[in-house]
Amino acid sequence: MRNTIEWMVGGQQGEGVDSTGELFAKTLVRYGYSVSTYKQFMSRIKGGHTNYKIKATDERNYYSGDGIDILLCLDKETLTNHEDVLNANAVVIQEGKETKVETENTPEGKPFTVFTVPLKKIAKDLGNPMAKNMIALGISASLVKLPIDILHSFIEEIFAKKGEEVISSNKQAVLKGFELTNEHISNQINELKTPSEKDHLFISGNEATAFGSLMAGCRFLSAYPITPASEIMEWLSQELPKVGGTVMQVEDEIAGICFAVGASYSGVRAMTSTSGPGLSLKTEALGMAGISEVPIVIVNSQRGGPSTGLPTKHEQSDIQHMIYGTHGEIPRIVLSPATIEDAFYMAAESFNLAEVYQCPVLVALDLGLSMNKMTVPSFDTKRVKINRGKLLTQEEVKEFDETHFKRYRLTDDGISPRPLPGMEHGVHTTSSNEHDESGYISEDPENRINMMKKRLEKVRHAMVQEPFKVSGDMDTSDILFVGMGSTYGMIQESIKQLNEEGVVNASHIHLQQLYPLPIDELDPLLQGKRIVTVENNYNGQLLQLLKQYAPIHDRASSITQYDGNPFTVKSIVKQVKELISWQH
Amino acid sequence: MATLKDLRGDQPTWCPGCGHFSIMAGIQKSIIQLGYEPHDFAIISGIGCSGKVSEYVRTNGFHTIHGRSVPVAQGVKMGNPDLKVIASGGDGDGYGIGLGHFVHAARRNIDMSYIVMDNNIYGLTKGQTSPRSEHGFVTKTTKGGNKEYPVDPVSTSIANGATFVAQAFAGDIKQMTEIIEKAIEHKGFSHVNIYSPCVTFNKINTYEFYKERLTKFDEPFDTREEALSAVRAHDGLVTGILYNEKRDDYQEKLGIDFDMQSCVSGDMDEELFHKFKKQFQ
Repeated sequence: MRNTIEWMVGGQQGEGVDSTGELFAKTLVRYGYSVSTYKQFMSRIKGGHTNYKIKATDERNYYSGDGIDILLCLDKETLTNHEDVLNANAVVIQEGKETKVETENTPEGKPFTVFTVPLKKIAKDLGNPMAKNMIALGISASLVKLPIDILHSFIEEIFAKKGEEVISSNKQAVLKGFELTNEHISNQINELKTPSEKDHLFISGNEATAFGSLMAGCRFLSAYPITPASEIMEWLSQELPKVGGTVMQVEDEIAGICFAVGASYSGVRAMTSTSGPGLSLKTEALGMAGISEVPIVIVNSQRGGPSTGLPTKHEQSDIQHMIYGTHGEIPRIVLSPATIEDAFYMAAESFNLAEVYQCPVLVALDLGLSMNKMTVPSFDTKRVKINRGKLLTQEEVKEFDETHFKRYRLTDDGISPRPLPGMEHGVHTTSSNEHDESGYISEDPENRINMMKKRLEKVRHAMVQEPFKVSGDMDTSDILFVGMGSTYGMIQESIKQLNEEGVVNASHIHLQQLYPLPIDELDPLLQGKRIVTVENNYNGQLLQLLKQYAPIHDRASSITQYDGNPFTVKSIVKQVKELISWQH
Repeated sequence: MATLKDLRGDQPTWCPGCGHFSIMAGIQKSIIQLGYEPHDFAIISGIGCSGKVSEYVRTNGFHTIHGRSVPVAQGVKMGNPDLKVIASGGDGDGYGIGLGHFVHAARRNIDMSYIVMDNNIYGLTKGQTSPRSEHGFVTKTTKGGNKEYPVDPVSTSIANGATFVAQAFAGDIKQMTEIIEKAIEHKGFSHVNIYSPCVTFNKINTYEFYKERLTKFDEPFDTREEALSAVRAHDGLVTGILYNEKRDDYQEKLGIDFDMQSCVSGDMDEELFHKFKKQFQ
């Protein structure tokens, strides 16, 4: 019995590719499988080839996979574009005049079955032309012997409001798919092994980030729609009002951060979410949050840049922008969750860090992590405790007994007790100008030095719970891969393959805190090894970052991809082999 | 009850005779006369000479960045609806770099006041043309005279749905203070444009210039159309409350039972977690 299935649906945008893919993924999830997905799409509403890729395994997986066992083609391009990645004995389902089964070979000579079915005609005969994708889903499910009940129960949920007739015709369509498989296909794809029941969530990085923020007490998000970050604001706009909060879609990206800074100043845990172009617009206000020491969380879901760039494609090219962006020097923390569950925990932690250190915290996502759903173990609410730092209560403010509260009081740790506007005895001034302890403008050189040191030193030792993930044998490995964001699963699988083939003895660090870089903790792990960063940008920004802090210049290089697509295991393995042969 | 002394913050550095002194005094007097305390208010200012008002008036203050006082101020009000919020800045700040925010604030109608100190020039950068400078105005950056025509601020806010629009003159403190008081008490977005002569760099739009030309209206117009016509008929040189409408503000319209400030240090809410988790299963 199989424990892996790789499935893809492809078609023209607007043809139901997304909903078909999502439904099959959910079916596999409900059956108990661990599912990873990847959606390819274009910057238009209708038309253009798009696809939804799924990999399901009985154990946790982090990558939607290189190959395809079942390919559902809703257009001609689907087979042409993906024929070369079909696994041996794959089944291709396509629309055609009459039902027939043929065997063909991939360019590499792997045999695959083409199952042609008049989906449209059958659906029409069932009295519901819309149900053609359901027939194909029935075929897909029956090829791996999934119980029909799961699909049927989904149909009842999805079409609950559409009435009994629609439910019945869709159920019949699925059943028809099962019958067609039984009639025409003989065990091409084996039955899936039944996985054990687990407490799983099927969730995207954007949703996990939004959920983690809400759980951490965030009650206000102001933002401007932008791919691939919009789902954060969409999810919170649905859920925040249920807990007394709200989302505001404001006039532009600058307002997005300014509203959030204002709300945070007034005492609310507040955030904004964006992508590269928006972050560019927000950088002046980012500096304001830095110098005025207002806590703020900024989620940046990276996409293909620069400028408008590749708006619906994956990239990790804002690393330097997030660490260095804005004029002057400000305190900041830059986090980069590796997985969807880390997105939940780190979103929650980012609000703690923002308030504890009274500074902006940037959470770096990328399109791959943001928009794709995965099965993850349910989150542990005990892992991150809410910590509001030096925020004062009304009673505590009174004890200071000051006419004008010193908002920027110099303290040993550089962090000043923080009253809120509206508190009696707490009247204070917050400022984007250089200021003295009272918040009033000051251009005095000595004050300037004190304030710069206060702000820039206070975050020096800021650290999340898991600043990086380590795997592999650190003592014996001779090559260390370093990555960030959604490349986690691909790097893991590539290393497994490379180690098994005996090409290298590799280990892996996936960075989750980019700034301040936890160099004291990283340094011993970087010693003596060949360092290879794996990153989706041209200049090797992660490599540049490491080089800035660690003496690795003579033994470090990067594997990059910046064509808009995520890495595949195949492409990483190939580049590693080239790198090694070039060295010898 | 608060006194003027309670509302004095940092020592002002404006030029002697600057209209901004009167506007600052108008804000202070309004707060006192309406019976508020300094901690009830947050003054959010932009950049320019006018931006310093958040330090000079002793309430909670946030001196933000150029053109962004209005979005920050709206965020403050969203976060704490009990605060009285005033955004303030100059004509360059509000009608140049920040114009977009102004139009959207007008149509959004969050309960706050926006007081603009309009001196028709960039003063702090020492005398360049502003979006409010008149056609032909000669400055360091328009040696041959300004080829553009000025933004019409009150018509903009009236046309874009502001529920309280007024114009005042720093040379008439009594009327200005009455207007500011009413703007503060107005539920919704109130826009007050105040002619505030720059005695150092603007030799055209002086106190005398305004005294000779301004037409005072004692009552608001009944409709936006009438208000717009009056502004146009007088080439913008009017004072008084031009338009005033009662309407639910943005937060009332949302109809949310706001509970944004209750987050405390400690464990996450387990019950809440399970409630939201279901949709992902």
